[in-house]
Amino acid sequence: MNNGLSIIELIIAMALSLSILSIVIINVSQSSSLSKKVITNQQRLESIFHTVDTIKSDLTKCGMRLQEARKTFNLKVFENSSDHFMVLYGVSSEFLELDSVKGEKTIEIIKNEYFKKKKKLLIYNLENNIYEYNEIKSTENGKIILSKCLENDYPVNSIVILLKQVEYKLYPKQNILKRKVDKGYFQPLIEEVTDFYLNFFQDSKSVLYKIEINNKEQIRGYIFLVNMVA
Amino acid sequence: MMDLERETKHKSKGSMITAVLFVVFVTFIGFTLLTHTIIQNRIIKHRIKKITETEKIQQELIHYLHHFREKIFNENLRNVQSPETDYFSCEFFPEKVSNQVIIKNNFRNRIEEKSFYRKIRIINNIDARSLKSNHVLNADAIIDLLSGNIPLSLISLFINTKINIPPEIYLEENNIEIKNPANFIIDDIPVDFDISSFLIDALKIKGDLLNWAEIRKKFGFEISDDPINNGIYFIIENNSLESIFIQGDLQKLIFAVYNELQVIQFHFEGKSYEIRYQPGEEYFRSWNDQIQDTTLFNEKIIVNGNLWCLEQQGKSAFNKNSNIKLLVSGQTIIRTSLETENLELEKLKLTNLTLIASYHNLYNLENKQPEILVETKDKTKIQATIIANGAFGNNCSELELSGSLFAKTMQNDGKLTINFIRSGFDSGQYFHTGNITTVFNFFIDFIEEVYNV
Repeated sequence: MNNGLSIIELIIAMALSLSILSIVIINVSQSSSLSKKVITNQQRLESIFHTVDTIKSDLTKCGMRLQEARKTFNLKVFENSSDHFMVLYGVSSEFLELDSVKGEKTIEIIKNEYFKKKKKLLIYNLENNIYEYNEIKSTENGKIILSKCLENDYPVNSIVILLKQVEYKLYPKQNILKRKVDKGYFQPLIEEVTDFYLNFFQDSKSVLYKIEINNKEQIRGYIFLVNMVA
Repeated sequence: MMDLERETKHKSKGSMITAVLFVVFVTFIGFTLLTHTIIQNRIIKHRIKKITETEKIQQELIHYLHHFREKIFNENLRNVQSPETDYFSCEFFPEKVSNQVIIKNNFRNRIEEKSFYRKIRIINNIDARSLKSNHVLNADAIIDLLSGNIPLSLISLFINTKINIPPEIYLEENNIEIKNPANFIIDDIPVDFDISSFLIDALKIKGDLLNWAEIRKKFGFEISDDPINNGIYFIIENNSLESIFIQGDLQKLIFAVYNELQVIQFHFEGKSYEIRYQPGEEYFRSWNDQIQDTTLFNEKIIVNGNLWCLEQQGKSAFNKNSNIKLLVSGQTIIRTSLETENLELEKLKLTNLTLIASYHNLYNLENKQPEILVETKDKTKIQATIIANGAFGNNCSELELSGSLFAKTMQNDGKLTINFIRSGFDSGQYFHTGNITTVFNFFIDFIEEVYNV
């Protein structure tokens, strides 16, 4: 009567166990790395989608509420270079409720929640062919205290537009595309950017952009600047 | 024996547990991968849906804006006294549902009272939203109306004559293109052409009566009803030269810019006369020694006769600050382009020349039909506000007018393009329409996607 396993049985059992264990380990590690890869890809995809949506949203707004002023004055609402672009648009607009005289620092509009301190303004009057940029120092029930004195006389009904300026810049050494709003700092938008360009077509008022991530994924898009067609 | 069986059973139970655990583990990994893929697919699907929905709403909105604009321009608002309430309301523009998109109008207005007319800005805030989802687009369409006695210089093209065809067809048949088609009139409607007041102001005559006796008195002649002698006269008051009055035909009038000074040459009765001045400043040079160098010139030139040649010398005719008012009683023939300096660098905001042609019973001329004629060979650019209380003729193959044009009749033998620019001279008190309402401007201020609704 043999009361235990023979050496051969033991070896076979151990070999089988080891094989199963190694298969399990390989599978687990593969699954885990695949899972990580999928999560990373998913995050990257979400990040790309977010970037594209943000760029698209900013570009679509380019020139918004500045259609009338742009026809008469040389306002730069869009600028681009190889690794940078800027869009300018109006967030809200109001009429001047009272005449404002050159040298004054106060203008009066109907109370508007968008008009907050440190925001940039455009004030213009087409009939008098005058315009200027200014900044809100403080507000008080529709009265706006400007950071600098008015350079021109603005009659009642002149238009005041609250501006927003958005800039994008590629930092090639860090491979990061950053975004800046008004006077804020450049904030990272997407990493691992290996190529980025933007082409503006004046005639068709449209933009072609390309973002390349990690020398692999490429996102190209063509955006019609609906607020630039005046 | 029993121990062995128990041990074998125990072993196989352990193996089964390992196998089950393994299966559970693999299933878990599989499900995780599947879940990630599903989430990923959902994100992509949601994104595609959002883009498609937004594009659909945008298409509907643009389509609606196009129809909205067409409807306004096809409507005869001329006799509507309060268009801001009588026409621009939800009664005339009710909400519309098309392709699962609902479009609602919300009108507000801003009225600006001017001396003789009202400027009404209608702001239509249009809300376009999908009936299937919560995607919303918002747009502001702005319509500027002029109502009352509208200055003729505020209408890009105004041909004051009755036509039996639609104005658009008239423009097409006459090869006329208006860059801002919102603002043109081709109709025989009442127009007020108060040339007497203009002359009284320009000649600084006291009172409301304009006749030769008053003019003779002004220039120091013996008082009678005869016209003054042919010549060039200066009307000066309080160290400012209000106007230059030319009695008789001018062979040539040349506009030029030299060292940023506005230069004007008069070729009159075989001789040449020249003035140089800084527009808006007290700097004036002329052949007349009696006029001080520190005189301010108010840039009014009146030619009581014909102007046989109006031309530009050099690259530009006008200093960018010039605001010349040239009134000619007879025929004016433009023989070159008339352009403002440095236009490539900045946009032309106001025209630098207001050219008026009008007959007055003061003139004693046989030709009671003043006329402005463009007689050039090549492509011509004229930057001026033209007000002709008579005929306007164009013999140039390609004429680009930056400004505006009013005429009683028109003969266009080439292609005429008008790009509306306001006049630097507020002529509304002298030359305006009867009491009418017209659309001055239409534009879309913005189209914006609205979030968190």
